[in-house]
Order: sequence, then C-alpha cells, then structure tokens
Amino acid sequence: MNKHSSSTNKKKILVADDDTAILHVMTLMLEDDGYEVTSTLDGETVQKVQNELPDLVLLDIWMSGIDGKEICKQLKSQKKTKHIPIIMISANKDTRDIAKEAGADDFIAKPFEMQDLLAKVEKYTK
Amino acid sequence: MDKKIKVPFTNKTTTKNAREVSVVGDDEGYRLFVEGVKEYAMIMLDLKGYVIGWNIGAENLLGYKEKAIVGKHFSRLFTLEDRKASKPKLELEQALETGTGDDENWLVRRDKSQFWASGMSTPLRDKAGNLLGFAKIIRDLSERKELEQQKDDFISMASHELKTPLTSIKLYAEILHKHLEQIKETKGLSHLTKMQEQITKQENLIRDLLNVSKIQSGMADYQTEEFNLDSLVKDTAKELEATAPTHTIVVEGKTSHKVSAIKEHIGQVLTNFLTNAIKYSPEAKKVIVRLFENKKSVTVSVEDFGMGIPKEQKKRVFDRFYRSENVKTKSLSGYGLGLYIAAQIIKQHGEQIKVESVEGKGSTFSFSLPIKKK
Repeated sequence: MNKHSSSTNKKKILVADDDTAILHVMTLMLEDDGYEVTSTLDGETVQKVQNELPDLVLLDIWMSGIDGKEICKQLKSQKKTKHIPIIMISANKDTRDIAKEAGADDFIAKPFEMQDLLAKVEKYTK
Repeated sequence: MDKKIKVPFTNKTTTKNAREVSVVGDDEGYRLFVEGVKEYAMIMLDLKGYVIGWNIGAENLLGYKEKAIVGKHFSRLFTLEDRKASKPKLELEQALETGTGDDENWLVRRDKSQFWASGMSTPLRDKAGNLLGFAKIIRDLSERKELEQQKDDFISMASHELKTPLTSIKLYAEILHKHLEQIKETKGLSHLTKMQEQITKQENLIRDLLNVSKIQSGMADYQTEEFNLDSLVKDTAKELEATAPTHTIVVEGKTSHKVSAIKEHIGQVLTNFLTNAIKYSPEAKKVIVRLFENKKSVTVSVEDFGMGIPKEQKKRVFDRFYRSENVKTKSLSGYGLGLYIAAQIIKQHGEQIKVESVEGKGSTFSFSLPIKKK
C-alpha cells in the first residue's frame, strides 16, 4: 500500500521541530507514505547525526535552544553530511531567504498542504 | 479686493499680497486663548496659503518663530515628496470643497526633522460668505505612530505563532479526511469538509493580517522589477477563475510597455480586486478586466456587475477593517483588509486606486503605474 516501502530499504527522514504536534502529525504522514521517520525536539540531536545518516532532513528554523539555520549551515559544511538534502520549514515570513542563506536545498512555509510536503520529500529522496 | 482679516494669533499688523491684516481689540481674550494652546499648532493662512498667523503651539511643534514664518508659504511644512505631489494645494482645495481638509502625513520642522502629524484645514469666511483664508490645526502624532508600529510588530509575531498550531490542525484534518474516505464514512466526511473550509478561512485571515504588517513595515525587503502587466493580469485572472466556477473573467485590451514595480505586491492587488469582484457580485456571471495605456502610464481596471458601494461609503472602503453596510447586511464574510492592503501597496508605488461604483449596479476599481522609460 505504501509506494516507498516496496523497496527493501525505506528512505530515512529526520524531522526536527520544537512543536510536538507538528512532529507527531508529520511522522504520521510520512510513515503512512512509506518512509522511516526519526523525529526530535532537540536541535542538538540533529547536529550529532553521525551513524545511520538520514536520506533527508526536515528542519524547523526556530528550534528552541539552537537556531535551525545554524544546524543547517553546520550539516552543509561537514564532509560526512553535506550531501544530505535539507528542507527548511517555518512559519517565519522570510523562510525563503533564511533557507537560501543557510544553504538548504529547499524550503516550505507553514501552514502547508500535505501533498506539497510529500511532493518535496519525494523529489529529494528519489 | 482688500479684506480685513482678524488675526487672533498675532499682535502685529501684516500686509501680504495687498491684503490688510489687522488685530481687533475685542479679540484679546480669544488671542490669549489661541496663544495659550501649546499642544496644538494653530496656523492661519491667507487665500493662497501664505502664513499670516502662528501660535505658540506651532512654534513648539514646528520650530519656527512667528517672525520667521509669517509671509512664507505653508507648503514648506510638507515633505519634498508631498510638495511634488501637490499635497498642500490639494489640502486647501479639499477644505474648500468639503468644508474641511484633513489628513495624516509627515511634516517637516525648521531643523528638517520630521514628525507624523494629523492636520485639519478649514476655510474661514466672513458673514457674507466671502473666503478670507484658512485655519490649519496640527497635532503631533509621533507617539501614536510608534504605538501603531508596536501593534504591527505584535500582529506579525502573533500571526507567526498562530501558524504553528494551524499547521498541525490542517495536517491532522487532511489525514483524517483520507482515512474517512478510505472507510467511506460519508457523514463524517461531510462534517470534516466543512471544518476544513473554516480552517482555510482562518488561514487566509492570518495571511492577510501578516500582509498588513509586512506591507506597512515597508518595502525594503522587496526588489522592484520591470515586467509586463498583461501576463501578470492574465495569470492572476486564470488562477482565480479556477477557484470561482460561477464567474468568467474576461481580459480586454493589452499594453506594450513595461512597468517598474514590486511584482509580488501588484499581483496581490490584482488578486484582491478580482476576489472582491467575484465575492460581491454573487448573481453576476462575468468580471471584466481592462488593460490600457497612454504615453505615461499603464492602467488596469476590474469591473464587476454586483452590489456596488453606497455613495457615501465609497471613500471609506480603503480604511483598515472597514466594510460597507450593504456588504455587512448580506452577511458576506470578510475582514475589511483586502482593499486596505491594495491601497497601501499602490500608495507605496506613488499612485492611487480609483473607484467608480453605483449601488446595485457594480463597481470598477483601477490603478495606473508609470511606464518604465527606456
């Protein structure tokens, strides 16, 4: 039933947001669409990704404690992680500019449609 | 035609433009009263707008001593931009036409600093109705302007915060929708669809509120670009036609010159015009968009054949949160922001929106943009 689970290895997505409801609903959506999802409320977890690198990171810009923009810059500056596509997500009115400045591959503005997010996720995990 | 003008603001006798100005003794009490008003600038102008009276409030607020300003034209109190747009002249004309000309704008002090002012001009006439000059009262609204800024910052922050829970509500609803479709739960699905429509409404409101604060905080973040209005008009019309199966949007005419403007904002104006045209003409089937140009500018107009705007409310439709009475009684939803946003955008491009409307017949909204010179 899930278009992405037919392959032996499900694509791994790391979702980082400081809002629990957003994390929960995004996990539901993505798992339903056949992805393997790890979610975190803590920005630092994303920075420490070393083993089992995800295929895509969905990153909120305003992670409490640490700025999502900085996390993105850091991942994009390290040899081991710079190839991982990052989509920045935010309700901030300047999401487009912030994502560009941080070196993210794409962005999506809150509130968004489920289809729009799934289309972007598919594009970057192909 | 020499006329005696009672000048309560000053003790001196001034002769200006062959007009004799004198102080009449029994006005002493009144003079003291006017002089004593320190918070309000009270200025008296002759027929052509030259200063003939200046109270202490005007001195405090604008920095000119009475001696230094009497005999000078009042247009020097306006910004260069407003002078170029003939605002001083327009203000007096409006005062003559309607009995009072009021406006809020930036005014310039003697030291060139500016402040946000509310001003009101009233024509002064003698008993026989002959025009003697104008009285202008000005108040410093800088503090209020600052509070407005704080309010806009608050709206901006609040809309941002409101978007987060809205995002999860919207997504949960979509997941639920999918689930109910799968199990063919039609009754639940019908309720949920209604709920989703309301979510969209709320989403639009938050977007509009954010737009208001974004547009007011200036255009610094936006780049003007050169583009042809025709394609923007056609794209916007097509997009809105798709969401409104009840109406056909006819685009007539074309333009050949490019304009220099903020494309995103002009697109927003067109969207707001067309959305209104469709919304306020529920019984009509057609909206006409016209494009035309002359040597100087390109104009777009949007005409609908709907309920129109009552004559006396025509001016106020551009006010923030204003909704005309006939719209309110028909209980059509809206927040009174669309035209306000549109007017602000066009104003920031140095132009004005024009509206023609006949109640019960329909309305035409239009704006022009100057042609980009090669």
